[in-house]
Amino acid sequence: MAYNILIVDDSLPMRGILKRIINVSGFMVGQIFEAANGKAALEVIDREWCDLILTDYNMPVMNGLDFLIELKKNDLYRDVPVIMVTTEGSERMVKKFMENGASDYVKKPFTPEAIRKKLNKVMGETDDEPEFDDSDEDLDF
Amino acid sequence: MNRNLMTAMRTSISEVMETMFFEPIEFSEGTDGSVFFDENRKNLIVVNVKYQGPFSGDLCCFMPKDLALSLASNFLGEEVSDVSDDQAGEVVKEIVNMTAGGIFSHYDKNAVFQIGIPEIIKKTDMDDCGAEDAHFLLAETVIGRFALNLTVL
Repeated sequence: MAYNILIVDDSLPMRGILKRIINVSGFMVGQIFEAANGKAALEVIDREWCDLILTDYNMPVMNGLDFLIELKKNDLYRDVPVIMVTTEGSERMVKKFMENGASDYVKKPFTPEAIRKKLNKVMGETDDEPEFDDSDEDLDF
Repeated sequence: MNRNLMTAMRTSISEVMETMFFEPIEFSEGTDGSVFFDENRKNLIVVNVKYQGPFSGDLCCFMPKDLALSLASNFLGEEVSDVSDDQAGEVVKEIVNMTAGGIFSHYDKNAVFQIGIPEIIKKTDMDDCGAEDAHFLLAETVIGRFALNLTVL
């Protein structure tokens, strides 16, 4: 099964790098959607089906925690897994993310491997090593 | 100067540069940065982020444009000639964002610091940061040097 993924981050380069990692991770990807903050992400979710969300915390307009809380209030979307991908490293904040329904957490800076493992863990996929091809889309970033 | 904060700065920027850019860095000891600023004053991308928590202040990164373009090229997977100044600025903002988060989690993993949104600002010298208690680092990659200045107000 191919999964539709929503990436929420105010940094365009960060969304780009996550997209590249996901595309070469061996993870079955359908469409990848992007949003620059929580409010924009809620608008994307209203019109597109997303199986998994990766979101930053520190964003203008609506931060990742407020987005998570809003998402979990809605019966239609509350079961969509959310992985927090953020610089926030304090134990108290990580606990807050998990208490509010985040499925997992990846701290920036991250390795491509860390992202791949979390995707597989959260979606219940086997964690086999990906078979990378020789295309231009490599993992150098 | 707080030595633990300085150590956290070193650890954090090293992690960011090695993990996201595959660029190991070294630090220039005992330098006040004046030579760096004299050499690069007209060609710097300066990004600032404010933070609040048990103590407050800001983190400033002074990066020569050529180095920023090169790092952005690496990060975005594009040729340097295809990278715009805006893209380079966005990448420096992300470096500052990740570094700030890392500094405070290395310094005290139990404390909660609110980190603002990084902004590109017009400054050409670390004196402009208005530091009351500054923590200055000059970091060296194989492709160039850049400076970080953390103030504690």
